[in-house]
Amino acid sequence: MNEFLYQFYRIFEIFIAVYYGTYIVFYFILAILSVYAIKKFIDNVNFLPEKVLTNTKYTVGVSVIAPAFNEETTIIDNVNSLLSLNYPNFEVIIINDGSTDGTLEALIKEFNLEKIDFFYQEKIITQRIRAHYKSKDSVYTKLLVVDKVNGKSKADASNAGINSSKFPYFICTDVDCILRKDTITQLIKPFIEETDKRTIATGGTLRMSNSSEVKRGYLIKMHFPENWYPRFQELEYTRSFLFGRMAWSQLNSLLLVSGGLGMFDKEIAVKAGGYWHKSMGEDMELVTRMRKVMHQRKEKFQIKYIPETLCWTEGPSNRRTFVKQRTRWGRGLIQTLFTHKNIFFNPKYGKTGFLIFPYYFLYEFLTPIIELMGVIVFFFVIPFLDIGVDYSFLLWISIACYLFYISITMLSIVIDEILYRTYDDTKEILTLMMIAIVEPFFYHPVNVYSYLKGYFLFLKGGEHKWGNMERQGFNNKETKNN
Amino acid sequence: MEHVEEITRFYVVPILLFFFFGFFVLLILARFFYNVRKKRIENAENKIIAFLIDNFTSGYSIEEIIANSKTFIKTIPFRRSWCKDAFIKELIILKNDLTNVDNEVLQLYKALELHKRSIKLINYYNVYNKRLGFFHFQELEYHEGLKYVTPYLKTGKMRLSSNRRKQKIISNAYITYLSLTNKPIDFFVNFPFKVLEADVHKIIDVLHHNKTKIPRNIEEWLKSKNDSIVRIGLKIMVYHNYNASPKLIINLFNAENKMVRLEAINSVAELYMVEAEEPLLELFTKETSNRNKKGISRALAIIGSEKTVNQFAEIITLDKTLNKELKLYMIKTIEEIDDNYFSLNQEVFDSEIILMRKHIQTHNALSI
Repeated sequence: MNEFLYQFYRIFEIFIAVYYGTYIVFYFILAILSVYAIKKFIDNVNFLPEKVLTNTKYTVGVSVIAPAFNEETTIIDNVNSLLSLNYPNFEVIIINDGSTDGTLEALIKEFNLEKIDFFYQEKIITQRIRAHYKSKDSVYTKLLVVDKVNGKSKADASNAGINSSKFPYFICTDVDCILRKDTITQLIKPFIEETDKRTIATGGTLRMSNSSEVKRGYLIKMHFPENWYPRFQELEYTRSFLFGRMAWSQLNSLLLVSGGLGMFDKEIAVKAGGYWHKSMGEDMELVTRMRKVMHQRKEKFQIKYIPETLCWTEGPSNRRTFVKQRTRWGRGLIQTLFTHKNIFFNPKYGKTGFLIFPYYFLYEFLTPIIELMGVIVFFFVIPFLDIGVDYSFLLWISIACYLFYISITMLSIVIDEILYRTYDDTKEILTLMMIAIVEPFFYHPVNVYSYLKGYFLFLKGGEHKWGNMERQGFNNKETKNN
Repeated sequence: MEHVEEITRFYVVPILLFFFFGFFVLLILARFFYNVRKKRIENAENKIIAFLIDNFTSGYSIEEIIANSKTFIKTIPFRRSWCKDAFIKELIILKNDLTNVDNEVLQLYKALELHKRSIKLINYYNVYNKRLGFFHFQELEYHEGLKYVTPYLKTGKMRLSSNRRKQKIISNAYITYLSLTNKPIDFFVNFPFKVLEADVHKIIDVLHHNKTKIPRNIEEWLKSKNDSIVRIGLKIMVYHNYNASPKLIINLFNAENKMVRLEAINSVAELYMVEAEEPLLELFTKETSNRNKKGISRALAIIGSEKTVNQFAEIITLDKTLNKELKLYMIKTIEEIDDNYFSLNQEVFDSEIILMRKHIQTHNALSI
């Protein structure tokens, strides 16, 4: 037994050394790519002035799709905010996903809606559509409301929106997300700036709206979140959007366009079958299938990411809701990798099969498992070995890991500070740095636990539940069931 | 393992510590200098805005404004580049916001020698600065700046590493040139690259804004081997309502590039070329792109006749595999040409067509 444990320990040690070594090399390359991509983005800022896009009659149309479930108290402000986006040719599609409160009635009353004879084309299968509504007032011609039976998922509601949309591009967002006025203009640019590759999706940066000042659906002033969990998430978003996604965008290897904000080529999204209603990570799953479609067509394509904060969303404000959200993400990750396992090292899927999927498997999916194994080895294997364990070695390796992790985080904060100066107050910057130092000890373990729980639930099987997403709201507390 | 420990302890950890503290110090310094500069910059910007608004809305003559500005710039750190950039930025905003001040704004730009700052920007290696310089000339309509733009119309001038970057600079230079030149834009027919969709928007914007005359060789544009030039040529024809070349445009229905075909389809509609009805109907039967078919349908809604109605009615009733979205477009076309057609021939159409017709009537929701 002792011999077995000893062999296991030695193999594990070598595996960790190789794993961590490649991890550092990968992240180092990503750091360089991210800085390069941001520099390129800045160089291009003046290439297509916004007024050119907003003045022309040739601007391509965009549908903004926002599912709503029991949003009675905030829906009017949120819809007004979406209708005020600055773009000459767009429509806003609100999908009332079988709300049990007065969401639909509030919309009908406020926007003077009436039922219309709508020829609904079910290009993607969804729950039954009850009716389509348009406003009798000419000021709200951009608004279309779709009333449908609840499909127990955002995916099903979004698909109903895609089926009802009239433009070739669509933005998917949450109805309570606050979008920057020029969101459509920013996201459409890559679609019309590229010639030799077809742009199939674009995404932008999301930030926490917790603690920010919001009035009637408009962001008045951004503040650093007051609660610990939103603070950690703010840091995580800064790192993952500015650092990670910019680098992946530069490699044209983005696999995730956030469900909170993303613009898609409708033809390809429909061809891919739209959002999968059984997926727990429907945003990543859709992008995976869209990539598959393009690989199968052998058509050159790109998915672009814009390092501009275009959307503010409310993140989980306590541990319980946070764990629930991350468990779902973990489950979504393993589900996507498992469902599309035929992509791995399949020459048909090019970069997706040889770079992106292996990366996600090794450094996104496996990391929590390896961390758990590390804990097990440390507490349950080493004490049973009668060999002298080199604790000094373990200590130095752990310090190196920690320093690497926080250096990457610091780099993201530096990029954000130099480019955007998101925060007015120096105190907020200092807080963010302190958060970065303590994050690996407090936030990271909870994240790892949630992902492992997600993997476990996936392997255990059973029907997925979306559960309750508690929202604090900007002025008052409210609860959203979806 | 001892070796690994040594490397980690004496090299990896110190390097990472250096990075961590480096970023930390950089962050603190960036914030410190920002805080120091922020007040000065905001202060100067506010003064510039107040000065410009006050002078341009108080009935002063341009000579008085120039005289006032020479005194004013002594109150701000005008010699600093950021201050000059801020001044130019505010001049552009002012020009866009107020009417009939274009000439005065340009004169002030020259009088304060701000054009020298724009020229300096163009001469920088950095792409962002070059574009900013072009942008200044273009927005302020500084025609004398042409000579600084012209060298960039050729690839040789640039020392940039990537061809793609070169192409983008050339494209920016061309558009700036188009917006500044008073000469006919006939030369553009020889543009060497494929024009990005974004550039098409910019070129049309410039041509509309400058009310540029139609090129004398516009028909040559339609014969260009560069598809982008053909598309821009068609857009220019539409803008100038130039309908003297129907045959040339109709010939483009046979173009290999589907975007050129679509542009030609849209053009015959915008130019109201009724003689294109038959070729369009013919094209409809062999066109492979659904988007183009929708375009044909939309064009025929404008220039079509009874012939279109009959052909489309036959297709929507007999072709059971017809794309639903396209069918909607075709029904709309019939409705646009003859709004009594469906009422008079109700018995021929199935429930789907009737529902589609209602959809069009209540939710005018067709778009390409």
